Amino acid sequence: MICSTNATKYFDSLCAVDHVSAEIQTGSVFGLIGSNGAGKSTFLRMLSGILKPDEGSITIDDEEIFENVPLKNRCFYISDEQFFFSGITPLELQKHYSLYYPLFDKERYKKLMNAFELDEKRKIRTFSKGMKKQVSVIMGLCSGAEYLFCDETFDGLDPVARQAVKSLFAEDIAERGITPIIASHNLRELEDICDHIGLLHRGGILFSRDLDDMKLGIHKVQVIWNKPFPESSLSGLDIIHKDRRGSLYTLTVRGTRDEVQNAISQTEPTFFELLPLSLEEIFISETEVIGYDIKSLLL
Amino acid sequence: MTSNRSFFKLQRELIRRNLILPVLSGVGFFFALPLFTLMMLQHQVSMRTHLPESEVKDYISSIASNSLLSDMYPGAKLGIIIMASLAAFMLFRYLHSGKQVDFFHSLPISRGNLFVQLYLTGFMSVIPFYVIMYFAAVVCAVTMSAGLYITAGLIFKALAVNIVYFLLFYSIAVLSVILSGNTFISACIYALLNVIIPATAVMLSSLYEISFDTYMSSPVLNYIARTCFPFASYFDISTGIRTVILLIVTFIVSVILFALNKVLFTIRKSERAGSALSFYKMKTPLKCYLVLMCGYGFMFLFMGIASYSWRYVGIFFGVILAHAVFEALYNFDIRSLFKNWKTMIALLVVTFGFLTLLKADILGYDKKIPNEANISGVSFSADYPGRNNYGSFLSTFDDLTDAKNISTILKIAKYGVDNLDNELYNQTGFVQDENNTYINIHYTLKNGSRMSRHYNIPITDEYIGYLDDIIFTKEFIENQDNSIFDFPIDKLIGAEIDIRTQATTSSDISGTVIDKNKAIEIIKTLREESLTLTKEQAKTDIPVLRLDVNVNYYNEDGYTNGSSLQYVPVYSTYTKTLALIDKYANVKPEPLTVDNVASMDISIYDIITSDKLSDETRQKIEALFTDDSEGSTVRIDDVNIMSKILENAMLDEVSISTNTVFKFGNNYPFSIQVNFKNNTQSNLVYPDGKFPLELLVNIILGSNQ
Repeated sequence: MICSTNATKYFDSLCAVDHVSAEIQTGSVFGLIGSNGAGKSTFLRMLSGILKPDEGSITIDDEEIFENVPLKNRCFYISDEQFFFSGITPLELQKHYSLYYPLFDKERYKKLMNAFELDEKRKIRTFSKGMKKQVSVIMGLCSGAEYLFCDETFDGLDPVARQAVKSLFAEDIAERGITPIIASHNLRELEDICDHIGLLHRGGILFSRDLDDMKLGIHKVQVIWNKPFPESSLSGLDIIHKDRRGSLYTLTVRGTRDEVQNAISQTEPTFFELLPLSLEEIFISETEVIGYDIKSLLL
Repeated sequence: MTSNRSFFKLQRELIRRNLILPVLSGVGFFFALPLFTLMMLQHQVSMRTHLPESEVKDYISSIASNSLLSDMYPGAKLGIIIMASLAAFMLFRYLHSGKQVDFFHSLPISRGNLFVQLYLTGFMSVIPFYVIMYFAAVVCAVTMSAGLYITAGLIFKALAVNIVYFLLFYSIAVLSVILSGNTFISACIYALLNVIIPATAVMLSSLYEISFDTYMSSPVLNYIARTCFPFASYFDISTGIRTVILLIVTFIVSVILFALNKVLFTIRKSERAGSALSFYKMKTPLKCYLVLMCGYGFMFLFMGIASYSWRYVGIFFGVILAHAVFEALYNFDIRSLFKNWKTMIALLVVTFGFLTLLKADILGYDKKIPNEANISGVSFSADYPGRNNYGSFLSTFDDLTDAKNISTILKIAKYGVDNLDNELYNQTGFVQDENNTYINIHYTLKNGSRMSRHYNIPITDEYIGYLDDIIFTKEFIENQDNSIFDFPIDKLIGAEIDIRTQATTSSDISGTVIDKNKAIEIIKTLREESLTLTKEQAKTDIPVLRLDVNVNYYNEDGYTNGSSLQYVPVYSTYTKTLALIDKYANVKPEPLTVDNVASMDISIYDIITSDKLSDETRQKIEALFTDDSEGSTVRIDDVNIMSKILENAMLDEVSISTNTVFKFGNNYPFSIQVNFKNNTQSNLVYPDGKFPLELLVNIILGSNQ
């Protein structure tokens, strides 16, 4: 388990990460959401042991990560802007990483390179941005690391490659129990892969919630009544958001599915339907409750 | 760590990733060592085809061992400095890029281990190639028959010196890369680190010099400036035990720098990539140092261009400029020129204040004279007043320890201190002329420390009396610089003596002693008899012989040294010395007479400004030489007249051999050149008061010109 307790990082007078506390369970996919400058990359770099927190602590399995070589052996960092040695090929890069990661799986590396149709003897500097990202992901997945820290990894990947990478992550989570932590500003990218979401804003964590719990605990209902809105009958429901178009009411309601269905049924609507909420809709609802206009936080 | 990742595998990988370094090393040292050796030796051989083969071999072997393959060879040194700097910047420069820092510092390797790996990569990318190319050069030299003087010691010394200095320059360069997050600023820091100690020593010395009237160039500061300037000590490396000590110290410094670099590398924050300085706490002391140095630097510049009164203007401009440039570079923003302006004002105040305090001499530097009880020895250097000729300079090569001499020196020091308040004798007002002179005094204290002072002195009988009290003592004579005592006679390897009489010019020799033992015997006897010379004799007697003494001896490091003394006087009272010279060289004293003289040329110089002639006489002479009042000449060949001119006269070179206290007449408008029958020439010099002015005026006025 990764545990961040009041982790804080200053760059000169700027507080990039402000007393962030979070728990990331092993074997789950954690999505780190935030706008540009929210502190996502900084937080990831602290998790990777590149930056040392100025206050607080970051531990993995109760051990501090900074300058902890055995622990770093179990971690792999895929940065937003990758660095590659001048003139290096994927084959040489694989050999380089093998020196640091003793469990590097060379067979899997070859399989993945073929699957992504990447030439391992071609110089990486001639690759496109997306291909470079693919190489980095392959290195990360083959390194044998249990924790993958991915900074805007899906940015630059084409939809097919994106899907392929998601599948690989899912496969590794199932087989090896890896724990990817993925930072992104794109909610839709993370929706079908993340188990847990944390929202960073101006260096602080606004909330950190399990995605299933979020989805199970919040629903969108479309209802038509042939009478005025039954305010009193629905007083027991936690209505987060209400929207009306003609006689059609769209309600965002907190509660279990059964609770919501029973409550609506009792009001004898002409029509009602429970609809799935997208991650973005859940976020908007949740953050509006806190008092933030999510649209202004996320691009 | 598992068996997969070994230290040497990683090392090999890092070298592979930075292949340009070993390639540059190999190519560079190839050109500098074996190829240049071959070319140079071949060139030397081709220029000596007319010489016997053995001589050619000897010559090229000397070149090989004294230059190309020695620790003095500048080609190798230049290569070492360049590669050390390049290796450090190329390997550690990743610290200046956020992307690269993220890559390296996310890897499962400790900072300490990463530092050692990178450090070693630099060493292994350069030194093995240097060593290989060096031995290739040795092989080339041997192949060309130039290996006569190549020894294991020579090879070891060359390798040791260059490797140790590689470590020094490499460590300094690594430090400069670590201290900054920007490569340009790292380069500036690298330059600064190489000169910071000598620059500070020189600046301090210069500040003391303009602030204290009695300040003398500090041997400690001079030594620091010389030894702690890596480039200077590297290119100026000498031989002997001092070299070994210097090398050991340099190696220790390199090791200390290595340890410091490792610590700094480990604690350096990754986020400092791209910033001007890696450690916040560096900013203030670095800025203060640079601003102060620049302020005082501009002060000296303005003083040099204009005058002393421009010093504060120079400080003002220097401080502001340095502050502005520093802030602009630190913030990477030209608009930050006058950021932290309060600090700038504070630094201005400090700079002005420090100079003012120094000049006020609140610690009493100028007036300090050590307690006689604390002095173990003194030495001094001074010009003997009134002697306008060669040989006026007095100094000792060793300390005087006699209590009387020490006491006399202290009296002179007090004399100098008493005159400090006199405007004529303080530093800015002093002009050395016939009324003023100087003396430099060096004290060795009983606690082992040294203290030196310079005094500007009014020439009075009191001062001359003090000097006379010292210079005729046995101790001073035996310790006088450039005297017959100034070499170790018991360690002589060779000795030769050229002998001249009063009638012999410098172009001629009366006799020579080339036998070492005979020469040593003469020198020993001369030393004994030199101690008998009295002040009265020295003031009036002219040496009957003068000697040029050339000796070779072993110095304290066991290496040979040479000494060449000219115009060593032999007086008529040195009877034993004269007897030995007669016995071994068959030379007796010979006075200057008209017998050997063919003619004399009397030249007239500057009669307009000379105060020795009356106006009437001057006008008469001017009327005779209307074309040119300077350099007009009258030739005399009348024996009687020449004989009169020669009364009291001596040759110019004989006058040089007279004692310091012997005074000559000067400022006369005439000079006399003697043309000898053997086609040599010399000028005549007269003791003070003996110049035949009237005779010469009559000769000139009586001439047909």
